[in-house]
Amino acid sequence: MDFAVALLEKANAPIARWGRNASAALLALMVALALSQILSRALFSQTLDWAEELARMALVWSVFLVAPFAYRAGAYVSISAFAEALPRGLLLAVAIVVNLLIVWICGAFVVESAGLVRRGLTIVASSMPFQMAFVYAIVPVSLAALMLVGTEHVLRLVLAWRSPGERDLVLAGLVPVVQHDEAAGHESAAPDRG
Amino acid sequence: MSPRRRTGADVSAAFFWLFVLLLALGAPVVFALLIGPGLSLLIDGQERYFPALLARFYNGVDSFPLLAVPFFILAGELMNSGGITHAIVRFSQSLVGHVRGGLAQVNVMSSMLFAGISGSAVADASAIGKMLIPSMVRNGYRRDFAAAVTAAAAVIGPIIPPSGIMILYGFVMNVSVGALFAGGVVPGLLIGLGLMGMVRLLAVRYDLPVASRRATWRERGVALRGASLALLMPVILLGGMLSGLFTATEASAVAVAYALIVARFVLKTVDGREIARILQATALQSGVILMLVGAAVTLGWLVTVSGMARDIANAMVAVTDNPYLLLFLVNMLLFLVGMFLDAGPAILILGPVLAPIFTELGVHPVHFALIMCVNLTVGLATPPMGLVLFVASSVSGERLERIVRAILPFLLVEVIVIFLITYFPALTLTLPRWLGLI
Repeated sequence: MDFAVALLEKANAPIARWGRNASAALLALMVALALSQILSRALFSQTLDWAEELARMALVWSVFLVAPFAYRAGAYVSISAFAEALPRGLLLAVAIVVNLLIVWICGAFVVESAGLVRRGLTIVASSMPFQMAFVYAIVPVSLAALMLVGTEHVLRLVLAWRSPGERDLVLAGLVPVVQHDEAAGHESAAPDRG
Repeated sequence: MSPRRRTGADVSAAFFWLFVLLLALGAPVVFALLIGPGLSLLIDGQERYFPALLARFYNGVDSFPLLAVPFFILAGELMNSGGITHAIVRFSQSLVGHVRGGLAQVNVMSSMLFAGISGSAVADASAIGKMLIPSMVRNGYRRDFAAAVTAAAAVIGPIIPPSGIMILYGFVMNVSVGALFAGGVVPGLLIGLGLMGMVRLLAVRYDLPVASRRATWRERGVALRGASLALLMPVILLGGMLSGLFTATEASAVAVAYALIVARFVLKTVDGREIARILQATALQSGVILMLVGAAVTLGWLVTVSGMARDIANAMVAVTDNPYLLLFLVNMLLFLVGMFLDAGPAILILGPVLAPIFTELGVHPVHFALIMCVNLTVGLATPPMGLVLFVASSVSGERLERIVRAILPFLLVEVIVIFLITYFPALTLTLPRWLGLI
């Protein structure tokens, strides 16, 4: 199981980081597109429909691209007050069930998003000459990455069950695998998993 | 609201109870919003609705107005990194630093001014707290008091425009964001002035020191010039929106451009590396919020098709059809929810359920929106799950329970303002009406 966790970490960490960086780059693109629209209207009295549509697509991609990093960093808001009051064993069991359910819902949506992408093959973007399938494709990709992160969390929790201690809880996904500080640019803050 | 109840769409209300259970078990809100409906549909044998669920989730994110969320966060981060906070605090100090409890007054006033830039209580608490709490402690303030003032004042951030949560509310409930922004000005000022009044009362009781000698008008002018770049931002944004030069979403892009020019080229306080860090942090923050928007849209859809919204409306009206009493009850409910849930998710979940009920009873949509936004924002400073309290605790190094005790008088002021805006709609509606936004 240790090997599986190490393997998942090797895959998830760079995927999550790459997704976050790509999301940041898309954010810069969105700003440029929104500003170009204002300038075009003010200077040339012309509305850039493609800029608005492209900015929307970039927004969707940006949100889905950063999702694996956010899940791995524990950045999604949760109410921990009740769960934290549980005894350690029960807390681990609950966390395993919750993460398994996350893997399940992401899997269910991966299957459904195949249909979404298929439908996208028949829809062309309203102001640009490409199929919407290219935009929709980010949904299954992101959800599949979320499944991998969820699986890593579950395996870490199972490992934590076998080896008691506060530090194991940190490594098990109850506390983020990637420290929040990393989001603020301090890349070395991830906890030691030795 | 019985889980067994079925509607024409054959969808039970089990999704809601599953959602609540998952929340209590510590599941991230975004996933609880998706798993609850997903499991419920599975239990009901209604998997055929899965594609609709996914489509709502996607469409919830795919919206041009939502660009304002990352843009306003980005503008606030750029301004904050650009050393703008220092200029705002210096300006506030020149105005009110000489009175008893001056640094606490500076803290509140800085929050009011900073609110015109950031639109986020957490950013406000972090930026102002890091600067002022250590100075307050050095000047003889109790650490818990300094942290409590910071936390209480920070909630003004999302009330005075621009405001992240008002953009979310406007998007989900189809209410004019411009009107919400204008409606937030008076409640924000009332909270700020109320907090300053409370500081004045406590200053006598705790014998708080004055921060500095009274500044001359010349010194105030110099401080104003230093802060003018920051103070100009809300003027440009509101002016642009009101003159029709740009929409609320485009205003957020203008805010980013303005903040970037000020921080990079005028103040020269951020470099390329810092900008990249800010972009990464903003992408993460906004990604988290917008994923939540998408998930909340799916829950909102199920609330409608399951007939739950109608059931809740009927149950509420069965208690009383007096809108004033109902508004009192809903304020209690929102305050309770705000104690456990962040303002954004709470608005996304409860807005679609509650707002139609009160609109039907004759409460103006902008008025109700402001009640919700202000109430849930105050919830950010209430235990046990007050995000702003956590930030104040982390920044000050003070224990949470001590801050909670010290913040009570300030919370009283904020609760009074909530009831004032609830029962005097003119406080929230007059400015939007004057500006022709409603």
